[in-house]
Amino acid sequence: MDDTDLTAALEAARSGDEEAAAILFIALNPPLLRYLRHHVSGVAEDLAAEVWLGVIGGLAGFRGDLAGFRAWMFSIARRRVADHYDSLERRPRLVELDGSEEIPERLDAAEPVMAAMAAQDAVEALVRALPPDQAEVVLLRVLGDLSVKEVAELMGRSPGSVRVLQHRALKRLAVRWEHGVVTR
Amino acid sequence: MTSPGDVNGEMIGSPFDDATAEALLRGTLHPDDAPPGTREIATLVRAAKAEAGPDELGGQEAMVAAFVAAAPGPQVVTPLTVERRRRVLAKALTVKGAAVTAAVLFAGSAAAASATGSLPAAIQARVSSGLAHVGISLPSPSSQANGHAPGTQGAAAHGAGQAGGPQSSQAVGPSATGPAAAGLCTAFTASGQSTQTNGNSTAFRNLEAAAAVAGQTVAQYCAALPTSSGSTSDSGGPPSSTPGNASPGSPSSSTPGNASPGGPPSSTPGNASPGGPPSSTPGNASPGSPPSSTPGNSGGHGASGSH
Repeated sequence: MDDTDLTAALEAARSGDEEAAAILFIALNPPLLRYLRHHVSGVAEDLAAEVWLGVIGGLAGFRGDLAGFRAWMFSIARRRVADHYDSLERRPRLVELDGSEEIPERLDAAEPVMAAMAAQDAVEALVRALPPDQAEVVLLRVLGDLSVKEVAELMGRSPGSVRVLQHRALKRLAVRWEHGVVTR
Repeated sequence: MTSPGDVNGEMIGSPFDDATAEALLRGTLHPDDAPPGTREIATLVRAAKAEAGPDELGGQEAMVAAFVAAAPGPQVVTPLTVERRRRVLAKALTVKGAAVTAAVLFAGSAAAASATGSLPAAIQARVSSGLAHVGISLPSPSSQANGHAPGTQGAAAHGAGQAGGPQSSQAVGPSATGPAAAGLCTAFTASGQSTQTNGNSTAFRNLEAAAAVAGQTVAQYCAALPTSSGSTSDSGGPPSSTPGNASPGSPSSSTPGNASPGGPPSSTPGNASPGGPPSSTPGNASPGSPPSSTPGNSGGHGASGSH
């Protein structure tokens, strides 16, 4: 499903086309769910449903293209995550992650194993060693398919600072794997 | 913690130029072409962006129905839509017996209610109130009665008719939802309180979706319903169809087609997020360049079928 098809699907879905709505859901729910499962594994499905209903509820007033739609969807997702942790009176993993939490053995995999990883495992393997702000940038860029500018808007940062964060993240990951942290 | 001034210093000595970083994060860089040390990143990014897995499409039917329901104007009806709905109904009718028959008929009416331009009242109310605090306005259940009645020539109404459902455009409004929920719960109970065994039933998916939106299990959701259908008004269960008792915070005068007239959902009171308040304003994501709707779009999607 390339973006051209998805753009058409978005337009048709807005006018009530059932197939198009399904296409949109099939393309965008998995990355949305992966993002939510990373942050709030237990209630990710519930929050995903709320995000979709939020999107659908605001669709009539939405003016934008596919990229804008994705950014909007993930901005709602971020709010739902924050709301969820607010309701628990706990700090979200957005700022909580310190690298000390338990890491499933299977995520320390060699590259050929990575290629066959389930998407969620790949997500966790990608960001688990990163500080929360770097992880969030990577998550939004990879799963949200958002640009630096869009991520900057969502995170309330400047594009330059997002670029810094993503370079630090990539560098950290490269060093990590280059130095044989991963063993077979 | 960082300032834009760091950018240049950060890039020095970095193994990535901007284009490489971009390609890595977009997943367009094949691992075989990745610079040293980035092969794993490329591999993981691509794996993270993989297509839908088996457990990643839950709630699809409910969301698609909500999409269709939220669309302004007359609903698009395709032969496929009607045919598929009929298949689902026929299957459910033959498999599950009387309890499910009732449930399916009610589900049909709920779906038809969707075709009038509204979500089922229970979902709608929950969504309305749930979204109010993020600045998104959705019509409350009470607004659906005079909303899009002409739209009931739509797919769902069609499907309900073919299943023998006695629904008319007036009858399938809000009043159907209470009984629908009760009927579904009756069927749910009759089937041993397991939606697992009914996983393929549209009716039970609707029930699951309604329960999920209410933040409850199906059992909890059903327990909160009054036992006799049609008397949901003052029970404290899901909002009834009575105009005036809509969920707080949602303007009852709004209609589905103009939920946020002129105002893209960019105003988000209460959006303070500990990780940094999203300042995104979808409406200006691409100022002045909304994608134009090209005639014939919807017809083209049948070919790329997702089912």
